[in-house]
Amino acid sequence: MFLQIQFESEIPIYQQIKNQIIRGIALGELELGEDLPSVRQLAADIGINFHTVNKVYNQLKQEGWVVIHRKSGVMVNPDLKPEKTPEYMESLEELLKITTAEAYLRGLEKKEFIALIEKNYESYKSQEGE
Amino acid sequence: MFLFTFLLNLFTVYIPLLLIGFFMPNFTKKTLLFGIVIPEEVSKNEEVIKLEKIYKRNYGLSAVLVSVVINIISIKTQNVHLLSWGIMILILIMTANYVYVHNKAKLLKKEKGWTIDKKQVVVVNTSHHHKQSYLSPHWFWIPISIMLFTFVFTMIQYPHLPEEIPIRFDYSGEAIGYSTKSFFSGFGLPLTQLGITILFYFIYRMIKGVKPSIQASRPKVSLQQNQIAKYYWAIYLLGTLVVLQLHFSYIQLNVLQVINPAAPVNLLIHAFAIAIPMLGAILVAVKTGQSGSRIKVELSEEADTNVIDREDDRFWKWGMFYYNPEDPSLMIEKRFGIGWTINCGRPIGMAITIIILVVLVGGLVLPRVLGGN
Repeated sequence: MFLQIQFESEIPIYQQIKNQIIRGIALGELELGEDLPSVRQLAADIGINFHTVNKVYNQLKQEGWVVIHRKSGVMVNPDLKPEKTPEYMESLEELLKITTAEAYLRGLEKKEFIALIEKNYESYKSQEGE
Repeated sequence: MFLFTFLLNLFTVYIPLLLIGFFMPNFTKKTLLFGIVIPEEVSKNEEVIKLEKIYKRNYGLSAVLVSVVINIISIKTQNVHLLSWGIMILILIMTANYVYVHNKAKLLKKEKGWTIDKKQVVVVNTSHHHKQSYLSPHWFWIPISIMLFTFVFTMIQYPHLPEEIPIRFDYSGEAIGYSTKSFFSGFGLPLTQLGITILFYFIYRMIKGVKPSIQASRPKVSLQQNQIAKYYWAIYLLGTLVVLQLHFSYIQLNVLQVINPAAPVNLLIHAFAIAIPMLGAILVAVKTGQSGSRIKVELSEEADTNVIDREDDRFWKWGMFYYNPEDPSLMIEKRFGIGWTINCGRPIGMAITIIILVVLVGGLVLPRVLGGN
């Protein structure tokens, strides 16, 4: 899969990489057990510091999205089974509070907002059938 | 003898350099205008085409004029050294012409605001195992066996060699320099063959590892073009290595006095050994273009006009030297022209650049100083 990094963005680079990898897994662009580039390779390809990539991989590992082997490198967790933990639900609600508040104030209707969510969910689901 | 050196310089250096410099804008990517990042769709704009015309006019006039003058003076004075200095002068003229239009392109982009409403992105590919096949390293057994053959043959012949062996030859194949028989005079050439084999293998690995320059608006097509271009260059590298090995082995057979070819045959062999790598490089360059942009691929991909390659113009000093300490890669694709260059922002990169400059300048100046002529 392709990662698209924006250097001038407000979102920090490590967050962009992390978001795109998780979305890549959901979209099926990254398969379970698929190899990811090494820290060195990815840092050199993007043209950023090793530490930034290290940070991404460590966070992804802590959250269970990837596994890191000393020899075979980094890969998407082959036994990926993320769960709806209470902690996750809490943070999701926090996130939605801010997102919906801004959308509401900007005049976005509830329907429009739900349509957006549905569109995204459809793109994840369409991968399951394949 | 002057005539041969003159013709060799004319056909393998002067004429190719003139043509390469003149047609270079046709081989560069559409997203780079003389080393300045631009959106693909403006590459057909009037101002862009005008700038290319200015470059071709300036370069054509200045380079042809200087080459003609240098070549005429060297014929009049029968001076071979002038021809090699002339190459440096020609390269300086190429550089000056490029820097001039590079700065013009920078101003033009600023004035037109081509990139203001574009999202600047760097695209990277995570699926390295899907890589297009690269040339197998096993092909290196061909040049290695030529080298081994020369080694073994030299070992067999060495005891039978006379006390004085020829080590330098002129173009007609006559020995002009002798040396007492020793390990280095006997095995000098096979050792050089070993050296270039290691060097070429190193470059082969380097080309494989260098990061692909993926065009943000057409990531799939540009990635594939990049990989095919690398493959072609690897084949070229191997072919050149084989020619060099054969050439060295041939000279070694002369040293060992196993063969003593007639002057025309000898001339022809030397000419081929120089011309084949030269013409090969031009052929591959015409075929691939910068980062493979001239290669036709079967994939079709709609260009995304909202994005543009990251504006990294500021890391390219005079649009030629890459200086970016934040970027961990040592090698990077050239900005103008075809091939790869060094990231001077890395300590090793800076060291290599300085060494190359010292060797280049030293190679030209030292013989003058020491020789006194």
